[in-house]
Amino acid sequence: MKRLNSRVIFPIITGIVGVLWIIIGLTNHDWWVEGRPQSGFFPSIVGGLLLFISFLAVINELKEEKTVFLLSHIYPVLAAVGMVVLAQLVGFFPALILYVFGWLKWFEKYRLVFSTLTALITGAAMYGIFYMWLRVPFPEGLILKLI
Amino acid sequence: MEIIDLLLNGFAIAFSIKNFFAAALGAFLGIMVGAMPGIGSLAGVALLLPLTFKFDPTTGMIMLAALYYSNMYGGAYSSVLINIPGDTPAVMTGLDGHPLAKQGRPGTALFTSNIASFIGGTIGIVILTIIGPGLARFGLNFGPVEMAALMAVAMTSLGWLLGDNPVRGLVATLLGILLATMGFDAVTGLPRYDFGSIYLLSGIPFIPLVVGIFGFSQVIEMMEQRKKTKTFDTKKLTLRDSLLSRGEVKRILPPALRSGVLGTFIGVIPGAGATTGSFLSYLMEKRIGKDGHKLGTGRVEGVAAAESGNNGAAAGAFAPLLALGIPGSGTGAVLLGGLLMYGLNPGPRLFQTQPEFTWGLIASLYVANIITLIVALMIIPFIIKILKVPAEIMIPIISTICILGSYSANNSLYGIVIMLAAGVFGFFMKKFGYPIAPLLLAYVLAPTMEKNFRQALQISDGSMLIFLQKPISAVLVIFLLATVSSPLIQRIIGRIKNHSK
Repeated sequence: MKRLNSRVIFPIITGIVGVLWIIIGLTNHDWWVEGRPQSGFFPSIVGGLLLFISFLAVINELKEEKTVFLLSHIYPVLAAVGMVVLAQLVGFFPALILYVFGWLKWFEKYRLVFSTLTALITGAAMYGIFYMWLRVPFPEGLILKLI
Repeated sequence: MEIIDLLLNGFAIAFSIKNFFAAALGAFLGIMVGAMPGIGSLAGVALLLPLTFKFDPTTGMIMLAALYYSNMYGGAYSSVLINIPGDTPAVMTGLDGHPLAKQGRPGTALFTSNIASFIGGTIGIVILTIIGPGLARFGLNFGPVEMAALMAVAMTSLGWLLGDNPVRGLVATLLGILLATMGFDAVTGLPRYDFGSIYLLSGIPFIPLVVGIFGFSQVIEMMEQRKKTKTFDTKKLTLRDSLLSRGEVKRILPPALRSGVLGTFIGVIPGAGATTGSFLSYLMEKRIGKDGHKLGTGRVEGVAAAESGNNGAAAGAFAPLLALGIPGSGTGAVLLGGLLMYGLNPGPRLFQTQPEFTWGLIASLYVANIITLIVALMIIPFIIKILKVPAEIMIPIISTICILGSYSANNSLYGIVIMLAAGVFGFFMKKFGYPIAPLLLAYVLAPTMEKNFRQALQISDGSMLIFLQKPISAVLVIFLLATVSSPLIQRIIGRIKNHSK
């Protein structure tokens, strides 16, 4: 028996989403009242269509080649999550500078001076644009609040 | 003749040195803000509007017009260079603009984008000048029935964007529609598909979604190429190589001209907006263009059609705004607020009661369009150098832009969560070969379609015949049926021909 490849996971998930939308549309919302379509009408019809097309997609994907993923694909996600967590402690812009510096110095092995300068320039540019010019109120961070 | 005199008078005022510099400043700031992922034209105009209050009304109005136009121009920059659309219409620009940049021709893509924006904008303003009030009345003919039919045509036309594998394209489109149904129902006002989360009550925020699905997914993808010496072919990153050849100018002119006209007419329809203008223009080019089937592979025609349609719609939106006081979009609403603050009271009698002010504004649009083009072209040599930065340095920088951009959309960490989730989801879509653009366009168009469709059925007490009883919607429905059935009819005709042979 041929092994299933990872490609079928995506249409299976979209098929499940379709089923979920149909169920919620039919059970939690009205469908058609006094000759008029209600909240559940449109989503459950589209959900049904998605379920059908996802089924076709699963059959389609079985014929396709396997997709290759690298472990390194997850690094930017982990780094971004880390930056957001760090931002809660030290504030957004210090966290941003530390993130850019850390990525360049330890992950990409750039020189200390280059990593520091790039991080500071990026941080300053972002601070100038988003905080000073566009006045986006970024959180200060726990440490600054305690001080 | 009176119109020409008033317009010339408007030009005389607009071309003073003070006004010229105000427009240039507005154009520069507008491009920068428009290019910033997560800000977009609505927030861009809103953020920069207070700057115009420091000037006298005429200068302020010119700066306002420059801000409005340059925001439209700016959206394309980040879309072409880093594949993160600055605003929604730029989604279409990126379909050909970013592949062109990847081929080492970001300057060509940006030149095309700017020149097409100028052409589309100019066509829009010329049409506005000649038949502005009449155009506004045409837009008013679009009620729920006509809008539902128009949106159905647009949705069905997504098929032209679906790429090599229609099944995958359909999955993406339907998924986009379902995501758009989350949050408050636009007709009843009741929450739906919120899964008990207060954050999902207002649905999935669009800006974090687009920043994540285009931008952050790109960052994850870049991990594969970070150790390569060059991300893109950077040999041609000079101004000279960015200029369009005579052949390319000939190629972009027809799509820019027809998209400008189409975009203007789309722009006057309240609620249709620049995204629909850019989207339908691109689809028209894909359908009737000489090399329409090649669109999406880095063709200047694709960039020209999308940008001209976008700017034509931006100019067309002024017709209902000035003649009826109806803003066609969120950005239009902000502009309306600005105009009211200058004492201009848009409405049916505006062209008669305040001709100097109205024609002054229209003249400002011409001037703003020219100045924005000059500023935009001058920026290109500097901005294209961004592609010389290696992928390993770009990864943390683009990540921070994505994080800050998605946070600034609604000043909440929730935006970042959505952005990260959309980024991972977009990455899987790309890896499995599912197109992203249909998902986003369906997400944008679906609420308008559903709302108008349901309102149309409410008007008719559930009878679908209403779509055939109104002339505009009947034409659209016939067009829709012809489009959907044409592949089948072509196949049947082909078989009959083969059989007869």
